[in-house]
Amino acid sequence: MRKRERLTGYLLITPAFLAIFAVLVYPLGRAIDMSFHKIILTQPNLGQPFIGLENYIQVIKDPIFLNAIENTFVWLFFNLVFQMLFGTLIALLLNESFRGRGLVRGLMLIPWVTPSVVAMLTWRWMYDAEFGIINQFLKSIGVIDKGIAWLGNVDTAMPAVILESVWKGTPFVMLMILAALQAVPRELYDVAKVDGANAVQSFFNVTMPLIMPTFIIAATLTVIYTFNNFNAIWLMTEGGPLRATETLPILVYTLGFRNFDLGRSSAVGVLTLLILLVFVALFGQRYIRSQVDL
Amino acid sequence: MKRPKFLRPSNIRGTIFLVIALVIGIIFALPFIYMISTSLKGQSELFTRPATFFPTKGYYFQAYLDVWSKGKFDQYFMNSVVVSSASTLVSVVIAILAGLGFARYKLPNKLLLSILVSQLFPLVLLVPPFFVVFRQMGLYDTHAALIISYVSFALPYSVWMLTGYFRSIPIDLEEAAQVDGATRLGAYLRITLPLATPGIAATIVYCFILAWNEFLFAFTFISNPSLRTLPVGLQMFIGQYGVEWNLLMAGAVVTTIPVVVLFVILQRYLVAGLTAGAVKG
Repeated sequence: MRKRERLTGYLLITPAFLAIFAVLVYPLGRAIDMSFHKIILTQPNLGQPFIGLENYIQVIKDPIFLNAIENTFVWLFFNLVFQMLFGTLIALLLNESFRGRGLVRGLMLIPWVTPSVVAMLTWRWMYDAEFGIINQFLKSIGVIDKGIAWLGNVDTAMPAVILESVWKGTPFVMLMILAALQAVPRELYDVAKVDGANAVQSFFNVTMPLIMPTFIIAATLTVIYTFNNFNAIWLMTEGGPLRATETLPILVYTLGFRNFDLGRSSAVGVLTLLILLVFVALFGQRYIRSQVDL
Repeated sequence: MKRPKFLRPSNIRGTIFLVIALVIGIIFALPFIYMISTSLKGQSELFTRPATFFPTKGYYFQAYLDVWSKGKFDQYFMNSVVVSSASTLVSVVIAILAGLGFARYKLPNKLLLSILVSQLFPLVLLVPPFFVVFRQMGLYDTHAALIISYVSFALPYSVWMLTGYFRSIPIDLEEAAQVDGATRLGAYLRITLPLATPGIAATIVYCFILAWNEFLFAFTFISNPSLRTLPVGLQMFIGQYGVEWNLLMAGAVVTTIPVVVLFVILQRYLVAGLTAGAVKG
């Protein structure tokens, strides 16, 4: 009976695992295999000869790979810091009880709900050098006197894309932290007050320890999502100008579908996955444990 | 003289909080408002300086008519509906089975963990292999390619969400039904699934939204303009019509409306489910 029970369980999850094999495991295997072959899309007559580690060697020697790693870390670092900082501060604000906070919470959800293509195109229009509202605003308060091509300039493209991404990602962090804050039992604050703690002390001794697990989970999700984010950059700058915003996922795409070198593109893809796995192994354990012990 | 209500000492704190929060909220909503306001501007006003936030020369709805006729948005819209519905249907049906399996039978934790890990995957890594495989199978440039590839993100997510929902439904109810003579399957169909309806609905909606918003696969695996989905059609707009931003923003509004409507209807369930730690995106 017990055995039959277990068997039913396995039967129920079989279709899911077959599907995951077909759309995730198999393509991943193919990507690894492709990374050891020379595959040039525009030259099908070459066949797909096995070239061992050649793609990896070429990639690692190529300065654009190092450039993409640097960009990825800059992109990741500023997104993480600002999203967590603003998300937490706004959550603390919305955790106070005052009239109209439901409305504000609703407004905050807008960036999260907006489809990424829509969001990016809107920001491109706002950043427009000649007719964009951001330049207009800065001109009117006297910060600049000529429109700046925010996305077309090597120095400003990355900050401009990060600003957009922080705008889109912060609400999610805010929601998670807010949910954690609201789960802190009121009595704990009362007890702290009786014990003579002021607001700052009760924040550090009561609030912080209790929201820490959620904070770490939100940070982990932000890292993974930001690291993998293709749309935010591609739809604003396509990795340009002069590769100034080219992160690893963008490089995978440009190698494959601009240079038509699917072998090298796959090699960068595999390296990208390895880097992400190191991250998750280092920082994501708490997240994984919290999720599996449901 | 009586002070206005919001300036009374007892309310000042609340008023200050509200003002700060409103300023922040409006800043976050600004791009969205600007999108709508641009879509209502006339063609001539787009390229006048100084640029204004709101239309100053009257409101025009012409852009909304033009996106459908000129921009082929009717076709993109239908393509998006087909692709999103099909991939959602496939994913959620498979995920309901798997969710029951994980929630109601003692299965190794490692299996559930592997579902979680598959969610962390950089999807761009799948693009080169999918591209090659789809061309081999003759699926390149078909909606089937999108439906299949969308399962790669919709399914792990759905299994994850539904396992959580099913676990939150007390098993006692099923056991009681079985004592009353129902079979195990009958108990699932009559007790568990109906109780999990909000969770299933939220999962369907979120899968649909994910597929609706998807850009990378749709951009790479489709080349026939008449098969494009909304996000790709929208992006292609920039190249096609130069910079008719009012048209583009009208298209953006059209793309966003279904998402917002679905979201508002199921906001309670969606926010609860997603902030429980499943996905960000």
